[in-house]
Amino acid sequence: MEKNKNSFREEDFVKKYLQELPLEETSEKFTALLMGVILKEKRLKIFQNQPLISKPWWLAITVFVSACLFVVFKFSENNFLTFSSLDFNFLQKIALSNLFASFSISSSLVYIFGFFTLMIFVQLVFLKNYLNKRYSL
Amino acid sequence: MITTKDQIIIDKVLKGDTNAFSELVNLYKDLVFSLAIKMTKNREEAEEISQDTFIKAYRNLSKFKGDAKFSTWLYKIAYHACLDRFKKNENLYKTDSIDCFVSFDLSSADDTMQSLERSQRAEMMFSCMQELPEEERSVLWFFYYKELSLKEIMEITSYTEANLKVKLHRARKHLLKIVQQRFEPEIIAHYGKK
Repeated sequence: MEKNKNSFREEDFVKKYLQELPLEETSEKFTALLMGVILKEKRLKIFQNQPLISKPWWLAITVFVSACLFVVFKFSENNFLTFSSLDFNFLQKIALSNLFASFSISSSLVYIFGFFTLMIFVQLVFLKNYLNKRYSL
Repeated sequence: MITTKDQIIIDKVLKGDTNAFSELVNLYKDLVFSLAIKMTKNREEAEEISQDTFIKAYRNLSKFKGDAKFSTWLYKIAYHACLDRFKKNENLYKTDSIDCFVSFDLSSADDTMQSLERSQRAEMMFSCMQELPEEERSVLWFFYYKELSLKEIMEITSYTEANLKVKLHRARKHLLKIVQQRFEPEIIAHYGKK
């Protein structure tokens, strides 16, 4: 009981004297300088977040992949689960032939690039969540 | 939650009237600056942080949903901008921790405070606040000076309720400890005069 009473008195003391602190004021030119920065930066336009791949494109990609899979499975004589024996040759008919014939990359470079890309994608998810949390209310 | 005036200005800015943002800046610049100066103890740095806060707020204005007060949202951005600054310059902002608290006679301290001019009291409390670690300084400022609710402070600082209550308790004790150390000679002198 005595402890609570003391705690209330402490609260009152702190509140009473903290509320006497004056509100700090910025320099007179603060708003003008800030607005100058904001107006100067053309990139500072307010954008709505837009995904890199829009919904119609995702739909088109999904339809394309589904169609490919459908063709593959439709004309496959084998078991549904024997993926290695599926015939993807039809893709060669629609692909541009020898587009990168003269272009060679070492396999280690491919692995490095692959892991780097994977790392960026993972980081993107974390960073997006982090920034969204910070600016959401 | 958001006041109509703020919402009107925000809508104007979102529709492309960039200059309308200056109205929001004028409304809230001193609040943001006060928080920044309480946390950094440095006017120039506080002004830089305030500027960064408003620029970030402008860039992310479309993300503000209006579920909380606009000032709370600004505080959140400013608070994290200050913490980022501390992380960058960790050595500059090291504050000595105060380990223990010895209870002291509040009524004598109160008498002594009352015997001072208001501006002197404010100056003394300000200097005592400056000795607290920045996180304790900010929670005290939010709770006792700005009289924000626990919920609002939790939104700004991302502390849990239990954590915030502990921090508030410790901050209050630390502040009183500093007040005691700072004013003990004056309390004695004050009673010597009686």
